[in-house]
Amino acid sequence: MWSTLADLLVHSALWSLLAVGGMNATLADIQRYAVDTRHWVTDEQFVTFFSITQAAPGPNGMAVALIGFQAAGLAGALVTTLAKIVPSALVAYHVSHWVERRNDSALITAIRRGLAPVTVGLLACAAYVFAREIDIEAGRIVLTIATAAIAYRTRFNPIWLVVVGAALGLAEVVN
Amino acid sequence: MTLPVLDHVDSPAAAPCVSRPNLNDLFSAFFLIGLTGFGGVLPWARRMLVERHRWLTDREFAELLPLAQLLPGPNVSNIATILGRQYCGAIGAVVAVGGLYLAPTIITIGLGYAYARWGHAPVTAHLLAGLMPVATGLVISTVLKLITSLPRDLRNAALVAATFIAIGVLKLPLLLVLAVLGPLGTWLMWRAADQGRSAARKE
Repeated sequence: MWSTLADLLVHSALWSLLAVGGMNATLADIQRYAVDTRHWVTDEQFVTFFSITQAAPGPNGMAVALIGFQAAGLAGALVTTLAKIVPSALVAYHVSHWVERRNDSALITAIRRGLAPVTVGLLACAAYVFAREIDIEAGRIVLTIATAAIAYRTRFNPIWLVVVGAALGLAEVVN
Repeated sequence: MTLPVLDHVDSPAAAPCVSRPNLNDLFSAFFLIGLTGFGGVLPWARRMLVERHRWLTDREFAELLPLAQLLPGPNVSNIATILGRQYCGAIGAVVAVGGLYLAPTIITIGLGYAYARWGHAPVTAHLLAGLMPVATGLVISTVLKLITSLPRDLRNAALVAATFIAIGVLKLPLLLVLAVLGPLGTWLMWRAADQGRSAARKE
């Protein structure tokens, strides 16, 4: 129990610190560790948790709290959540202060430009992890492609796509 | 690139100002952002901070974003940390971040219990059959948007491909991959900017 909590604490903190360009960038690594290495959740549960939290309010990445819940109950969820929030907030606190005083914009620009393609690569991995779990079933494939196209082409708030997806699922249009 | 300049918010010359938020204001604003932020929190944060409270102008909000994106963790949580600090110091940051996460944490834990109880019920399976393709489609669309926003050159293409192969195919640990590719990418972009500067000087 304690060792699981410590493990969750360390890895959740690590993911939060490595989440360059948002929590989704760490998704593939979370999958690798939580599913393949620790067997806290199955591949299917992993994707399920990310889909559920997509539909819930709040910042990205609350799904790690559900993985913590699955691994070690309520204590696991709380430890994971705190470990996700505190380290990156400490970094933001100190680094933003430093940046405001320094104004060293050439270096900041280089870091930002250098990390941008890495973030894209990481998100592509996240998309790959998700797409692998989709059953080869016509309705699901059409819904996936339609969502990607609509979200790419238009500026609807994504929550409406989530609502439509949930409705199509409940109506058993998509199985 | 412009850096977030918010210090002049304090100065008397600043825009048609609005009183400085205190701890209560910070908490309730970020609590509501956390509670209402369905499908991406940033639009809600903008609405609250710029339109409703007028703590920031649109421009100041836009200037805050690059830094919030560069820092690790969710953008909105970094915005809470930075604004909390600027308005009320360390306690302000704690209060803003705490307010932001309070509702989502309670809701997520509730979802954990709900999943334990009804995770295998048929209705859940139907719901997820619809939700999972949408979640996947949303991630794919984000990748598409970001790929098209990158400059089309070899450096960027190589970094995207190297990251995808390292994590997606070889399954290397993220820490290792970032420790190598982060500095490498920064160096490549720094060098490219340097070359641009010296080329401009020659002309």
